[in-house]
This record gives sequence, C-alpha cells and structure tokens, in this order.
Amino acid sequence: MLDSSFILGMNARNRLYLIYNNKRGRKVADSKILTKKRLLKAGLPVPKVLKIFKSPDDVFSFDWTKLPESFVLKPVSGFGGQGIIIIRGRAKYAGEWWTMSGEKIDIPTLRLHTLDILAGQYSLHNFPDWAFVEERIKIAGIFRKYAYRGTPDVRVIVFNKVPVMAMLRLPTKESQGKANLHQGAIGVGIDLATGITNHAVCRGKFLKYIPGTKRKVNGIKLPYWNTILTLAAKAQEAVSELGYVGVDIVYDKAHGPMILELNARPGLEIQNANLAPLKRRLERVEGLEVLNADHGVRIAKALFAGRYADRVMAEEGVKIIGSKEEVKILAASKKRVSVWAKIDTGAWRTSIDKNLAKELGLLRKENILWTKVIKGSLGKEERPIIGLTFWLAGRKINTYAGVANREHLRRPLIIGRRDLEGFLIKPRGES
Amino acid sequence: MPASLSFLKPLVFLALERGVEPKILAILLLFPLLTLFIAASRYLVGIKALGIFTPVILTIVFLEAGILSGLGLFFLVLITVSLGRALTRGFHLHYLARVSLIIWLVSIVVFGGIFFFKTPLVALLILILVGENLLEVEISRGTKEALGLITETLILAVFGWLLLSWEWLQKSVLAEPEIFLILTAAGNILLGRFTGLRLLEYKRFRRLLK
Repeated sequence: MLDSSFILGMNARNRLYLIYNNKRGRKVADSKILTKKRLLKAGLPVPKVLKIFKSPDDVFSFDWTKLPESFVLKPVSGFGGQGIIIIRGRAKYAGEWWTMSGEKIDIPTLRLHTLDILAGQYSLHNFPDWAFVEERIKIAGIFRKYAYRGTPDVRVIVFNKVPVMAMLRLPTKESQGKANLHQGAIGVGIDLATGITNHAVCRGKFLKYIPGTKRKVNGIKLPYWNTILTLAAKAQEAVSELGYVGVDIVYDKAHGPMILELNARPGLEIQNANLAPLKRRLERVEGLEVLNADHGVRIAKALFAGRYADRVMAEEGVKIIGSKEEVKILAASKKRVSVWAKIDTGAWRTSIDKNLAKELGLLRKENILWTKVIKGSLGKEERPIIGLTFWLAGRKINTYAGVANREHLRRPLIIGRRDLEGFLIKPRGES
Repeated sequence: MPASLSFLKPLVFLALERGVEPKILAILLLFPLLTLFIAASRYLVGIKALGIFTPVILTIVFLEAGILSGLGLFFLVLITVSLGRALTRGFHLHYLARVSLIIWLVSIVVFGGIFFFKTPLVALLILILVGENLLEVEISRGTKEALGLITETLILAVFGWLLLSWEWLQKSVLAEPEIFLILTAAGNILLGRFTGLRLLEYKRFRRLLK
C-alpha cells in the first residue's frame, strides 16, 4: 500500500507549493495576453494574436471582414474555457462564418459577444475585461481521432524547472469540446520519459477505452514529446515568478507544439490520470539546483520514468540474471559500450566509476543531474548524480547513477535495486 | 487552572449579575468553537460550504428560530431565490438591481412565512440576507455546483446548531471560558499548518492508495 503522504492533497498544494507563486506571477497567468508577451519574449511558440479589443470603440471601429477563415475569439482573463467562440470557416456570404459547434455566426453577433466579454461576463468576479482574436489551432492528425471536437492539449506540471507530471486532456461531448477536467474532459496520464500514455480518468472513473471508440487509453505515443517537455520547462523558466505551474500545450498541424496558457493553481486530478502520487516527486525536485530547462527535462526523465516491470514481466516473463552481467552503456557519442557490472541488491541506486563515466562522456556538465554530499570516513565528499541509459539482459533502462571512485574495485558499475524490478537474480555466476 | 489565568471568569460572573442570559453568554463564548468546527470541516474533511459567514449565520437562525422553523424558512428562502432567478433571467437587469429585485421577492415571501412559522424578527431579517448569499453562489457557480455547496452549508449549520445547543457544553464554557478560548486558538493554528490529506481526498485518491 502506498503511503498517503506521497499524495498531493489540497492542503499540501496550497500551503507548501502555491507559495512559490507570487502575486505578479499569478497576474501573468491570469491574463492570456500577458502570458503570451512573456513567452514570446523568451522565444517560445504561442498562437498568434490577430487583434486585441480594449474598449467598445475598438469593437466598432474594427473591420471584421479582414479576419481569416478560421480564428478564435476569447476573453483575456477568462477561466475554465468560458466565453470562447471558435470559428471553423467562412460561410457563403462575406461576414458570416461557421462555428465549431456548427452554427452560423455573423458580425453583429460577434460584436455583441465581444462587448459581453469587455463587460466582464466571463472574467473572474465579473471584472471588466479585454477580448482578443487568436489564430485557430488546427489539431494534428493523431489527436483528431481521440477527441470529441475541441482541442486536446497536454498539461505538464513544472516545478523548479523540472517537469514533474503530465497528462493528455481529451475533450468529450460532456465537456462540450473543452479540455477542462472539471467539465468532464478525459485526463490521460503520460510516462515522462517516453511520452507513452498509461492510464485515464474521467469524472473520477477510471477508463480502459476512450468512450465511443475501441481505442485503448494506454500505449499511445505522443509525437514531439521531448519538445513538449522542454517547452513546458522553458515556459516556467520564462515566468519564474510561478515556481509551481501547469503549462498547457497544444499541437498545431503546421507549427507543432505551442504553449496555450499557464495555470497558477493546477489541479490534483493529474495524479489519478497517471495513477502516481505527485508530492513525492515534488519533494525529490525541491531545492535541486537546476541550471536550465534542458537540465530540468533530463532530471525529470531520469527520476520519473515509468517502471513497466509489470507489463514487461507479463510479456516476456521474469528475466533471470546473474550476480555479474555484461551491460551496454549508452555513451555521449550514442555508441553502446560493453562493461561488466555487479548486480548489487544491497544498494538502492546504481553507481558508476568516475573514470569510466568520464571516458564515456557522461560527466559533461549538462548530464550531471545534481550533486550529493556524502559523509564518509574521509570527511565530506561531493558526488555527482548523472543520467544513465543502459541495456541489461536486453532491456533498456533509463535511470540515474551516482559517480564514485571505483578504481580499485573489480567492476566499474554496480546496478542497484532501483533498476532491478522485473529481474530475478541468481546469487552465483552469470546468467 | 491557576487563579492568575482566570482572567475571564470574573467578567462572566459580572455579566450574569447584570442580567445577561446564561444561554446567550454561553453561545457567545462558544462562537470560536463554531468557527473552528467549520474550518476543520474544510481542512480535515474536505467540506467546502460557503465560507465561514453563511454557516455561522444559519446556525444563529436555527438557534433563534428553533431547528424546524429555521429549516422550513431556509427552504422557503432557497426556493424563492431560485424562482426569482429564473423569473428575472429575461429582464437583462444590472447585477445589483436584479439581486435587489429578488430580495424584494424574498422579503414578501418571508413576510408571508410569519403566519406559518413562529420566529423572532431577527431570524427573519438574517434569513433575507442569507438569501443574498445563496443568490450570489447560484449566479456565480451555476445551479448544480451551488446546490452542492448549499447542501454542505446546511449540514454544517445543523451540526453547528447541535454543538451550540448542547447543554453540557454551554455549562462547561461558562465554568472554564479560558480553557475554551486557549484550546480553540491553538486548534486554529494547528489546523492552519496541517498539510495532510483531507478525509474526502482519501476517497478521491483511493486507487492510488491501493
């Protein structure tokens, strides 16, 4: 049974993690225009803004016929996807369009809706708001078949520049095309290391298949996964006043992944979508010195890779290995290098010899995830922890390893319990 | 408790001597316990309700009017507010004008209620204002979510009423007011620092806990 203190509840989120988001940061997240400005400044891709309406005068003086055949009209400070009109294409006459829900809409109606937005009908506390027109995201093919209309997106929670958990959000009929879990969208968990989906939840119910289809929720590989994680981490780096943030990323057919918006109070249901607790992950990452977004992504992949032990075991059976094994390590040059490793169930973490790591190019600054201070008989010693990929008995293992001086020892690599799930160890000899 | 710490007891005696009703005094002193109870329901159990004000004021109504009359009047107000909201939907009124108009309706209905429920005037006036609270959540949160929050509020208020009308508790707080105040203050601070799961979250994340 899982310890309940590993789970992030409302109390812990509010008291321990939302304190990393200050008022300025929340202001940026609450305004889609401010968010865009900050992200653009950092060179990150966002859907283009075609027009901002700040006053009723703007609404009347604007030449609406200049708008393209598809676009989105949104409130700047809207929430929960309210007040958004998505235009799919032009209708027969100039100044008429088709909306995503299949209704015809004309310029007077659009004007009226914009005025409603300005009056604050869709903003928090009904404060006066601005409205804007944005280019429409055209869903990349792979998602069209999973979502009911609307635009599916990927929510990544980033903390301290490290993406800690992610889910795919699929709009449903009930959510009326919105990707909001509160409104009934499906949350599909994603393995951080590979971008492959694992579990799914909708309104507190766990799903095996996507409703209305025979598609299993697990095993979908998301395209551009690395780009997504890096974008998410970079978005948090760009708006550093938000230390703990949900980044929503959409896939555009032409432009690839783009950042749609930031959420300063991301919800907790992502834990059910992944069937994994969030608090333990946050604790792992808190206080780490993360150099930049790329570094953060590397840490995430090493720390939070899903262990598919159960599934692998079901497919291949338990693999028997000996107490020493020849493994192949992925070097910086992408070459696979064979070394002999000791299988050590007495150690938790895998550990690699300093000279070997150096030789393989694994001690480059960007591959060092963090350093750990270890108190030994010779006083304090700093040991780097690096990202490491190796093949053991034909299985690829993505993990992290401590770097130690093993010069006088027989094996330059020991493999700890953390990476031995799904193996059975024969105490004597090789496999 | 040492005599030096009994800073409230003389005041309690003084108030009783001046003719303040013991029950009223007890309820006054139990107020912090009521608010602590409401805060604890949120952070320990996960009952959101409508903040602190509405459940507290409803508790007062129940104490003043009696639980049955109180509940009856409350539902009367709730139905009137929902009805008023539906009736004024097509009017396209400014927000405050609309609220004011609905309260106009509530006032009339509550006035009619006097003939069915025997209640002090204060409770009626408070209930009319509770109507404004209910209206605000119904408008801002939508009917479905609002009904959930209102039900939670009602449950808290009923428990609050049970708590405050408990005679043993009333006697104890008059006998040892200092202990109550110190304990409730400490309780709030402990509660405010609590970062564990709420009771309802154990249910929400039960699959994770398996």
